Amino acid sequence: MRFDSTHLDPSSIDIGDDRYRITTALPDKSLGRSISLVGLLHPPVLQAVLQKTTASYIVVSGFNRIKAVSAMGWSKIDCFVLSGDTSPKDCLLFSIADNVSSRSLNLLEQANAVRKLSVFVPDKIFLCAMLEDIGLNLSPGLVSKYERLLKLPQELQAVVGRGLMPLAAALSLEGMDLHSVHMICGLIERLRPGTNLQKEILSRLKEFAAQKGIPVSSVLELPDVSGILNSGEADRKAMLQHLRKALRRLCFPSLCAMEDQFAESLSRLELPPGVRFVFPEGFEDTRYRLELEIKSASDMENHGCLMQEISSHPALLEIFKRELRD
Amino acid sequence: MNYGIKRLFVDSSVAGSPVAEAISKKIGILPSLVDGPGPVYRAVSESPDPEAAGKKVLFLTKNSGTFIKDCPGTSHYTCCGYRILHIGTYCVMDCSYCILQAYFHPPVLQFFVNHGEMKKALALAFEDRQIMRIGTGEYTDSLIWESFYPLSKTLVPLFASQSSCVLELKSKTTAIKNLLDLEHNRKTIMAWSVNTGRVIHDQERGTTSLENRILTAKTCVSSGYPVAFHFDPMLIYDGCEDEYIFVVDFIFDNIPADEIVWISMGAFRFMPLLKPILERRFPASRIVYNEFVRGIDSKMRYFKPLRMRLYRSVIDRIRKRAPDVCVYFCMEDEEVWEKTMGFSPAVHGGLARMLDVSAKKHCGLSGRFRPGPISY
Repeated sequence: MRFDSTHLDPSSIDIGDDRYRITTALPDKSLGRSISLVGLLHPPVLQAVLQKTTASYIVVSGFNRIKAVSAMGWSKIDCFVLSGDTSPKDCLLFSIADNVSSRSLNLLEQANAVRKLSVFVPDKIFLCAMLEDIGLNLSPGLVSKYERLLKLPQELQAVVGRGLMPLAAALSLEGMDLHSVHMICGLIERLRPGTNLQKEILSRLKEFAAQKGIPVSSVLELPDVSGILNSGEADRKAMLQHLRKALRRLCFPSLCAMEDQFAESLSRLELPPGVRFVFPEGFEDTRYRLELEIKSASDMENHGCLMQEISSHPALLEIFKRELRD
Repeated sequence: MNYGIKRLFVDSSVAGSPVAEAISKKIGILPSLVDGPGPVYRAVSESPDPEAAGKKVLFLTKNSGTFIKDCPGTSHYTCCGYRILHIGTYCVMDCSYCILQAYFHPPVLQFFVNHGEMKKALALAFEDRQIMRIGTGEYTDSLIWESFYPLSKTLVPLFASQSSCVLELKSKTTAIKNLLDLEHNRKTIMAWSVNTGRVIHDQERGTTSLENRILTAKTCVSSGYPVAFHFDPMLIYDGCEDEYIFVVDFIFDNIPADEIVWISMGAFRFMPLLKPILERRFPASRIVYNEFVRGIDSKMRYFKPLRMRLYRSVIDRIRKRAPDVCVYFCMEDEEVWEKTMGFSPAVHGGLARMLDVSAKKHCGLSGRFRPGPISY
């Protein structure tokens, strides 16, 4: 590819033409501050466009840098200009390579790069090989997922682009109504759950909604859930835990009731510190686990006395009866 | 009728065998000869919906393993000690909950044509003179193959000629035409998987209605066959108890209780692997969304008190209609038995013995019982 180094008036650049734009983030103040401090270290790349009437150049890479220096009132900007006969595919490759070489692209940027380049390279295997050559390692399977990502509502794509939601979680919302997607995006933006917690919350929301035949937005509007979200709780993590518990109660009402019964019986046993009585997961197994902390022979003796004492306790018998009260 | 088979593969090792020839002719599709299952598996796996594609591809081959094998009962739950006669795999019907979708990789309609070896395996089992319950409906539906090849005409007389083993043909079809005039000597039990009308309509694509199943069973009873019913998988939903009770009543309104060798029950349980398959293939199905907990065998099961509540209602109704009919659970634990049936199979010498006794009584078996209870 042939390009020349030059100084240009920023007004001669058509910043609105984003055919080669990969970056999703808008320029923040730090970019301007950095340029003010140390100058423009990495000049943008442009392409001369002869037929343009109001501007002579379009941006291949460096949208944010151009915006930043324009905002700072620079009258001239250092640029590299690709010749006008450079093919769109080569310009796009240049744009992707330029971005990839300076930072990691977020998922939405990768998806956009794939979408734009696949116009020229429709075969996914060739496309991946080409991207690998310029430093972006993708598989055909991932390319297919990116195609699906770009069909999701814009708001959801943006959440993915900001790194707040993993790709798999976003794809699991395919086909969901827009209001529900909007509410989920708001929830994720606000509470910023980690990957595992997000997966759990989304799957509970979807499964409960599916079970009841209602949209997810209606689940989020249920008093037990909306009460938490509108509680004004300042601690994000505490709110997430409350939400998690509320959703679990919605999805597993009987299991949670049994756990409550167990906890109530256990409290009546008044077990001393160092003794833990653990119920089997999901109460599927009939075997419970008793954990004893022992530091001395007298501890063992004390535990022995305790075992004898509680073995006929009505609360223990209730635990072993394993009947779910109505 | 060829059940929508689109491609026929024949393993070169069985090409020219009378069974393969007969099926090829019946289906009317030019077979592709292959050396082993590789090309068949590829043809199915490359489809975007392999589970559906596998229902349209028939592979005629030989069973290179054992023809009679133990039912793969999972650990920690009480298994009935059933034996499987491995005649083929997968099914042309399309039930959302079908575990075969996740059990075979990929699932392919396979029919084993080396019947000479199958007969030898059966002869050995018969020679042993031990009471054995053998079924073909575990990895496939027992009767779907009847339209391709009348296997029942081989199996039913074979079992009729001995007295220690009983054959159970389990189905969701009405394909009994080949069986009615056979000499069965009550050594073949005709069994149907039953469910509520709603479950059959919503979850069991391509199967026959409850009414047809029970009326077909009634026809078999008229031809002297003992029968059995399997409430499996039982699904929990609003109003399910009343609907299952309706099924019980419908059975006993049409079938004399003393012709029923056993009735089994099993609530829906599934390997976690089935869930994404079911979600993809049956997006309208909601059956995987419920209070499922991980069982001791790692399968997902309804929270125990919920499934026990459903079992109790159905058992109460069965007991009311037929106090003496043999009812058992497929893969449940002691607690479920005790709290719903009021006893553990151990008091009858174990579940396997309990069923052997019922088979002996209804089918006139004269072999010896297997020693001791089955334990896993």
